[in-house]
Amino acid sequence: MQSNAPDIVLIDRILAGEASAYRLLTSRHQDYAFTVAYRIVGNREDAEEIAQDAFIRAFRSLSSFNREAKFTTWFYRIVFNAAVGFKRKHRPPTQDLAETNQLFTGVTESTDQIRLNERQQYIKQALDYLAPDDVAMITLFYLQELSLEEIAEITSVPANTVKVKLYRARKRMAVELNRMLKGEAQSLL
Amino acid sequence: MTANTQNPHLSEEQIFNLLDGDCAPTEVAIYNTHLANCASCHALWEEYSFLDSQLKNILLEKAPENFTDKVMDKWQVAGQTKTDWVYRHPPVLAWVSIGLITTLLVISGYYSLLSIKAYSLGDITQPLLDTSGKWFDFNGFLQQEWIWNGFFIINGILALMIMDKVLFRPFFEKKRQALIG
Repeated sequence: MQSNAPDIVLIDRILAGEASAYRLLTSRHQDYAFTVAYRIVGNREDAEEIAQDAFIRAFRSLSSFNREAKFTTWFYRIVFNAAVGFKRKHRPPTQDLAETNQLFTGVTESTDQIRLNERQQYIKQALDYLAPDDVAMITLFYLQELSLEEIAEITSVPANTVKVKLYRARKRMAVELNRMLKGEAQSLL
Repeated sequence: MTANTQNPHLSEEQIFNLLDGDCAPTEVAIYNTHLANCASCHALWEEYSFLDSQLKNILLEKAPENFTDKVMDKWQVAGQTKTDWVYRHPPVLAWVSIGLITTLLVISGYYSLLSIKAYSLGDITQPLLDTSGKWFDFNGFLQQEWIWNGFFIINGILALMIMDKVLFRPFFEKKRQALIG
């Protein structure tokens, strides 16, 4: 089977019972599904479980998928709802320290690479200060470059509200970055 | 729009709109002209622009290496669970056939009660219902042989369709999944 077959073609083959098509569809979207779940729940193990269950839920509902819609929009809504539902039921997880301490890896990194890692780590930490919904919107906006309408459909929030939330979230991120770096953000950025 | 006496600078919302390409061409020209001439707005533009580029680069998290394998394992179980679901929820055809049988039983039971009542009155030779003059002889209708033949044939077909959907299809589907999997 061609690995670059469109999602809708893979869906038809999955409905016909082809396991290889389902494997291909899963591997194609696993990183994005995992990222959306991880950005909301903040824990890799939980995010993995949520993303896996989302794929199974999508499989069970595949026969009712509206073929005129985008698969990613429909699927990410499943992931989003699962992650938000999980977060509401469980207490906030402890910070993934392994992630936090991955700043300086290896002794041969160049100064530029270290500075790049620092910037990226500060940005990741700034994301932690946002509400889960805001993080999800930023993730969907930047990761998949989804339109405001698509994000609105995934998060069940009106498009105008998505725009306002995105604006506030990005502004909040910049504020948090400046606060964390205590004025050094300007020079790093 | 900017460049007025109250607010000589671009608002943050305007900068974001420019970043996202959510401006009319005329607005883009005005904003760019202002950014070229205003150091503070240009600095803010640089800050948000860089933040945007960094977010695009770092947001993606790689799923664990065996993620797809775990999903496929769960998918195998989900396929079997889907078959069990068929067993737990009787098909619509079953409900239709149950309704038909119940209706006919009620009708036949009604006439049985009428017969018992006539017998208890001591006059079983006289029909209890005088259907003369009526536009439809329901009693005579039910005594037609073709009615009962049709009843048994239809229910036989329904029973075969139910057996196919509830028993045979799930059985062969499981066999097929085992071959594919």
